[in-house]
Amino acid sequence: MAVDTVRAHVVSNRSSGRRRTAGRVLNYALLTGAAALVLLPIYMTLVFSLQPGAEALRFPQSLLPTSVDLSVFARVFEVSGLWRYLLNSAVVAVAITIGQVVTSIMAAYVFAEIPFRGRNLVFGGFMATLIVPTEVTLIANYDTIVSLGWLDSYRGLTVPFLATAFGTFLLRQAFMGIPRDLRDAANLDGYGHLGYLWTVAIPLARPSIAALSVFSFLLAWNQYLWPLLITNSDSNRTVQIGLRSLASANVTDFNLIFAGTVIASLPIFALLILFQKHLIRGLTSGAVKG
Amino acid sequence: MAHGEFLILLGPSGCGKSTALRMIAGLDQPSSGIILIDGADVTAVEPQHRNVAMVFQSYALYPHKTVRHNIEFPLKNRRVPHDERTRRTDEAARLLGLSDLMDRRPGQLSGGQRQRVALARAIVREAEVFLMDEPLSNLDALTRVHTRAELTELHQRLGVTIIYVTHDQVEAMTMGTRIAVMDQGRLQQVGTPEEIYRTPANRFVAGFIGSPPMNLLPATLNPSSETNGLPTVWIGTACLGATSIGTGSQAQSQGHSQGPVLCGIRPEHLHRGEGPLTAQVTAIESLGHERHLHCAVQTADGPRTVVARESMDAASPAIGSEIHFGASDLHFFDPATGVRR
Repeated sequence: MAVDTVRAHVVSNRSSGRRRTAGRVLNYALLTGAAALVLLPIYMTLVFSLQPGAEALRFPQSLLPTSVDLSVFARVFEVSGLWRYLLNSAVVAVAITIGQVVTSIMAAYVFAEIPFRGRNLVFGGFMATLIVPTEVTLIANYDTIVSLGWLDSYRGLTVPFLATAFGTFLLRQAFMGIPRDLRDAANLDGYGHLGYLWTVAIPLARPSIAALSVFSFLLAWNQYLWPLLITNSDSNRTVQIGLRSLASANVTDFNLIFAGTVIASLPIFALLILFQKHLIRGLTSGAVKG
Repeated sequence: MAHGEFLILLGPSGCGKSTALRMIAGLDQPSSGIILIDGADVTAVEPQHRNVAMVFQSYALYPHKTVRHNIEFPLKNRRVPHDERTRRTDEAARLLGLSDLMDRRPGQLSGGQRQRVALARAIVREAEVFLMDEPLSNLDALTRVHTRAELTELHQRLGVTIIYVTHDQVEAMTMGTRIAVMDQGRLQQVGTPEEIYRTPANRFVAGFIGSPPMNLLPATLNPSSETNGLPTVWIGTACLGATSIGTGSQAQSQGHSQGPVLCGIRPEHLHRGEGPLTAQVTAIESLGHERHLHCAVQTADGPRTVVARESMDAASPAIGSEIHFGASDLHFFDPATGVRR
């Protein structure tokens, strides 16, 4: 009797184990498929940049480069002002990132820690801006920039993006997740709002701040419509606009265009790899207690 | 409250003791009244300027800072010179046995160690008043007993003024020089642990202090010609004898010497044996060193449960059996207001 029970237990264990393995295989197969779907365009961009331009038009396309020509990466800098575009993008993206992080920290702290009449209403208004598409504000912003005389300048490229409702929301959640006792303890230890913000709240909200920084940089780096609208000189164009002009000037040199694209995406990849841990932690922090 | 006193704010959850403490700290504002520290009105003074240190129930240690940085954190902002800061931090750490843990973060410490870091952070301030909000409630039973003794010793050694909030009456009775009992936001009684235990000011204090708490039974005081004018105490049909309560002329004129009262008897003052009070045993709890007998007693308002405490040396009665009690050290409270008579 007892032996039968044990045997039944072993059999049921074995079948549930098999079911678990099958589930895992299916999971990984789905994930691999999804990853391939996302990575294929990026991989093909790399392949096209390495082989002679005409190869890109061949059908069926090979997944491996027919020949490798690295000189294209040097040539892309010679035929276009890519250095300048990259520099412009870097300046603009860094300025926007710093601006967004600083303003988000300040606003988020107020919304999280300083009670005032109508706070929730103001915060609601802040959040409502998230549902307004950028394109809607384009004309109004353009008008403002023109009247300020900031067309075709770094100021015009950065100032409209120095504050973000998303960042404020993200950091507000992070600040609200810090136990109330820490705020009180710091208060009794002699730290006012700024002291507490600097010595306790910011260090504890670091994962969220890192996530916001990466997102801000990413969005600023990939901006296309706004820089296209307000810049007209090479000295102020960002890399995305530069790639567009590279493409129109070198219609047949596909490898040149793809090489430019690869170079323009390198900083983004570097950033994602460096900060991926913070990125995931920052975006999920506050989602669950603990 | 006098300098160097160890005052306990004691009361059930939600009675306002933590709120009172937070108001003393300046973290909450009182809706009326003023707060004086050393004779000065500090009601409108910011918490950081009140010179009070606080130990929180959650310890409130900064998780990103090491033990050393946690302890010296209050000194940094007060521009204490580096050398002095280090000296005071090391001294506080040595006092609380934290010297070997200075480079660890709070996450790497046990509950007891964290509690000591929180204490060190308060001590290093050399504040006028120490506020402690249930600092032992997150510790296991053994560490709690140990830390309780440490805190008492620390208070004696440093001679500081401490206001300590707890709902644990054992902590209150063993640590405090005085206890302030609170209920529903009101102060019920302030006194030494002995005064609170021996002469509770009202029905709430009587029922709250003591484990098991005082038995409170509806009783009647009847004037008697056989007891030299002293009224006799009746619980149901049992006469517990004469009492000197309400024999003063003022009390008599107010009618305190007769009529219904609430009679309080501590469990240790119910003596099993030959006595007027008849009871039926409903449950028995053995604690190893003593026994608690839960019994049903007939009163004028129907049956009531009383708890008697007795030594394990006595033979245990059977559940359901009828036993008799004599009672001593009776307390009387007004049945309407609950105030001690």
